Amino acid sequence: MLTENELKRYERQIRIFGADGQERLKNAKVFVAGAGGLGSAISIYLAAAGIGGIRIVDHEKIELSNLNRQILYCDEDVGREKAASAEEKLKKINPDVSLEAISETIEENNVLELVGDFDLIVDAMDNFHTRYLLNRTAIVKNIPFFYGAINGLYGQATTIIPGKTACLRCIFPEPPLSMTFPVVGATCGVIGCIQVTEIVKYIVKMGSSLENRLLLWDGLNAKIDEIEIERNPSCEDCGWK
Amino acid sequence: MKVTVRPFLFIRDALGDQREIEVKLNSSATISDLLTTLRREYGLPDEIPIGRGVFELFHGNEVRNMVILKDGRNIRFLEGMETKLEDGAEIALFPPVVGG
Ligand SMILES: [Zn+2]
Repeated sequence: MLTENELKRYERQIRIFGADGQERLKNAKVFVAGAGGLGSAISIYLAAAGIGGIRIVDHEKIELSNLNRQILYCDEDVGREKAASAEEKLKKINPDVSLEAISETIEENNVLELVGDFDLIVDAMDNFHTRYLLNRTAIVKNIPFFYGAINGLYGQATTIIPGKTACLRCIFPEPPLSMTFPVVGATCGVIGCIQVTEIVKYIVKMGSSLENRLLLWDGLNAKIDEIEIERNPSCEDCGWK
Repeated sequence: MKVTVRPFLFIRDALGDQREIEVKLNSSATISDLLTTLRREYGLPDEIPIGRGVFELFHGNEVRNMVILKDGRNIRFLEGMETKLEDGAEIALFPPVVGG
């Protein structure tokens, strides 16, 4: 049941989702992989929306050059661990949310445990090595994986439902060449908010999602496009599913 | 035969900001032939300048940072560069995006 306070706090979105939808959000547990630019936008909007359980994992410390996009952090946070600082900010944004921030590197040997019994994984990583790990983990645990990535003024997102949609490996069979990428902060906001919109709809069971569709955001020319994608039956990650 | 090329993001800009490009090819053409045609006749460049940086699409004849889908399937899962094309095939070209 929602409390008096919650009914008031979420009034404007309960008009769309209903009290039962809001309760679903309250009971949901979302795993956020990364607390950088995407992770900042994603975790702030998840917390504000009243997602009941949020676990966010990032091993880095805050640097001055992060602050153009990582809006969870302030000037005075430079040098601190992202996890500790993120936890503090997100609890202030919404004290009702059960929030856990973990300062660890997501790796092959800890990913299953880190994701635990969470309902879904949202991708806020900056590399494909970890994205493939998360993709495989989502398939093994049979939970959705919300992919998002950015480069400068460009971004992409898709929603992966194991056994139903193309997975990340179906779209990108091999990791793109690693390169340092420029980032415009607002691009993280655009893509992160698209990912959160997908998550919220998934939880309250509304609308249609980015299943088998890769959304492309071209901020330079202010254009949104999409590509239809198909599962690869012989995909090394999801082919068995 | 004719295939439809749909370029995205800055690859689309590099091809004159066209949403779709119809390309005529001979009946036994492959992805490799299509790319050669796009480079020779449609001005698909080896590198695309982005802001102060450069995004490399081709290194010699090797495709670098470009995902190629034929009818929604990555060509790596098909025959790669030797993937055969048919009349009406849809080819999507887009750059991978990595950052977070
Ligand atoms: Zn797959």
